[in-house]
Amino acid sequence: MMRKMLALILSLTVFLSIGSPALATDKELKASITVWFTPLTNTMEKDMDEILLPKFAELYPGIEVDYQMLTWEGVTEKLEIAMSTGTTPDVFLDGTARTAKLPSTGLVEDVSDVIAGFDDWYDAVLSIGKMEGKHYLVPATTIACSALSVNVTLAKELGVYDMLPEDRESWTFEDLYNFIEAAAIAGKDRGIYGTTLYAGSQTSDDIMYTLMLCNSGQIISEDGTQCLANSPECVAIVDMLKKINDNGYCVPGAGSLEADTTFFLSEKAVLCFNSPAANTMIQMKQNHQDGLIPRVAEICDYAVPTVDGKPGMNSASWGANCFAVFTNSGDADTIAAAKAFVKTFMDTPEMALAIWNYTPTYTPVRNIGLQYENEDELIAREVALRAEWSGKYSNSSFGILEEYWPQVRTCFYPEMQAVYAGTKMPQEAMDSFKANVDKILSAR
Amino acid sequence: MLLPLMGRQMKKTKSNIICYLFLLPWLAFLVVFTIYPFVYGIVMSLFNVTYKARSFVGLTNFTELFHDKMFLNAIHVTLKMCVIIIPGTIVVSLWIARVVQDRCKLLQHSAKLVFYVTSIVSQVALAIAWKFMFNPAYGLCASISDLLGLPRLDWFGKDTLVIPLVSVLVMTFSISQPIVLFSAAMDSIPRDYYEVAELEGATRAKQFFSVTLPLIRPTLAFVAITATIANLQVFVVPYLLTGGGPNYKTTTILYMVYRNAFEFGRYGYASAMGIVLFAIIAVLVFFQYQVTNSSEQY
Repeated sequence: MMRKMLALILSLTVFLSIGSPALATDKELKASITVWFTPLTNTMEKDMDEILLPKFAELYPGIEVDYQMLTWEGVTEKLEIAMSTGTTPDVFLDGTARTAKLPSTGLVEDVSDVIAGFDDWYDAVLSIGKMEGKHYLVPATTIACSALSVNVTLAKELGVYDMLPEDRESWTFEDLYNFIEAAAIAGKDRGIYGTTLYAGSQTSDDIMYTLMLCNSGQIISEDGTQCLANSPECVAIVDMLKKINDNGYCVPGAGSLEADTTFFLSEKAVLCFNSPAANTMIQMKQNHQDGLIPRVAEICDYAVPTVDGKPGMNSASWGANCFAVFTNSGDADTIAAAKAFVKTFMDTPEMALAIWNYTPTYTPVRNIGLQYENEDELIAREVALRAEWSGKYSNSSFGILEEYWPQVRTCFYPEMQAVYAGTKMPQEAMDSFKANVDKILSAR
Repeated sequence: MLLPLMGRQMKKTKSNIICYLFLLPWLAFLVVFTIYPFVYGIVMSLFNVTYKARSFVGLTNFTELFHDKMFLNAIHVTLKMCVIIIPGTIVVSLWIARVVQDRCKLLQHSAKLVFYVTSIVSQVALAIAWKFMFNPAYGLCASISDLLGLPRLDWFGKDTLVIPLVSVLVMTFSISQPIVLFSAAMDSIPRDYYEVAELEGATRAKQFFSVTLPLIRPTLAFVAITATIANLQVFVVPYLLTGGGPNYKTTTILYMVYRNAFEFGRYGYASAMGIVLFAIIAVLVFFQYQVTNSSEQY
């Protein structure tokens, strides 16, 4: 009897081990990995600790994770130095402003197997980080398209609300300029400006490219060989921005201020070029709770105008925040462990939801029925609208996801600074931008 | 006769060895962190360095450099700043040291302490404070302009304002060490010289130019040379305050080195820039040394 029992137990053990080989391998995988990520939300570390890492530890008890949250200010330099000195992490999560160039460096792993592990991706994200038929990046959350935000409460108080398009989309650049002008004139006595404008750094430059694209301009030629931003369509946009600055309709300091929402949050500007409505209202609520501002205004997103004033903006989008797995020493177990970490993140919808709920412009990349949660109807409405526009109007095909883009964008804002300082005319500035970009493109 | 000599020689050698042993940590530090990176930088300037490989390109990086309008602009910007900062540092610190010299000891020490504080405060912290002060939208200067009914100025956004302003801000901490050095040099001048000059009817200005200045000339030369070396490498203030703008008007040579290395990953090209910067510093310092190192001694 004892022998039979023993035989049965042994057979069962053998059968079970044959039936679940992956589980056994996962549990046995022993490695130590380093993970670097940018703070997609202010609660990112907490979410990692409470949601992701316990699940990962349960699935892969043999894998040790050493993670580090980077700062937005230092990430470019840190990554650059790590890549040149061979000290890259095993897993890196960041926006495409930095990850887009990784596939061409030859330092990151083919992650097609991780991508193939899920079949519910939104189509648009799968082109990101794809090179010669292979995937080198795993999108984690998408980045919403650019648009304009308007303080509707303030616009109503200043009597300029009627100048805004009712459907939030149908207007021309002339309408936009007239609105900013009217708001600035009406708000002058209260120290309120028509809009914010920034060229102090490259931050939030995507809205500038959107304005040009929406005016039928092109930034880079389709074959990627030359810059076309000195066309009349693009120059007209720079001309409009110069007029706004020269006439004092924007917050002072367009040439030196970095993207800063202080004036918009404190209701000293009616329109903002770089702050999605939902994010602004969430921040306003927080500021209101902290006693910093007296009220929470209604902020609405408005589409960037088009040439014919009909809906259909062409909006620059950074694509997605993506994971990259660095090859480093090439150790198979470490690479497998790094991929397992990415896979676990993607298989944990709570992480995507936590990011989405905190930063409404970082939406899920997979169609898994996640719902944005916010009890405030206004915020929820704006998130839904931005998500809809992102789906309809996002454009990441004009070079923004190419490896040369980080260098291209460093050439743009200095030209805008020259325009705002009055040392260059718009055409001259865009000619200079084109010359610099063409040099970068030809050096590739 | 020979034995005591040999004994003394051995004692001297032993003493020398001990001295060298004490110097060894510093020498090791110098080799590892200064000489090796310098030589490595020269080698790297001859290569095109990518993340995975490097290829020898000879002097291509240097030839490209002298056709690079941005780099030539950076040299121009750096020299423009130095023209303000270096004489400004010397004149202002000399003036402060002279004014402080005649005061009571307590006031002298307090003044030196106050001026020296800027050199021990982080440049980053200073830059953040200045950034707030000169913010055209909500800074202190904007509020003062409003109070006085003057138009708000975009301090860091105007070509004409930005270089003088950044240079003056750099001077606020670059004067601190020279003040202490000049004060020490002035204190070491015997009082008799001034008494004689006074008896001879020399005014205070005459005393300063005929007695003080010639006697502190070695310190003056030292300050001029170190200020030149430091300010040709000006980086932190423009990087944090202006980001090199507006329109590259404050993009210095070291800023270009930083951008090319740590933003664009062009290490070979950035190294070539570093070598050119070294050459510029070496040439300027050599001429300064020739001018200041006169054979006339006091």
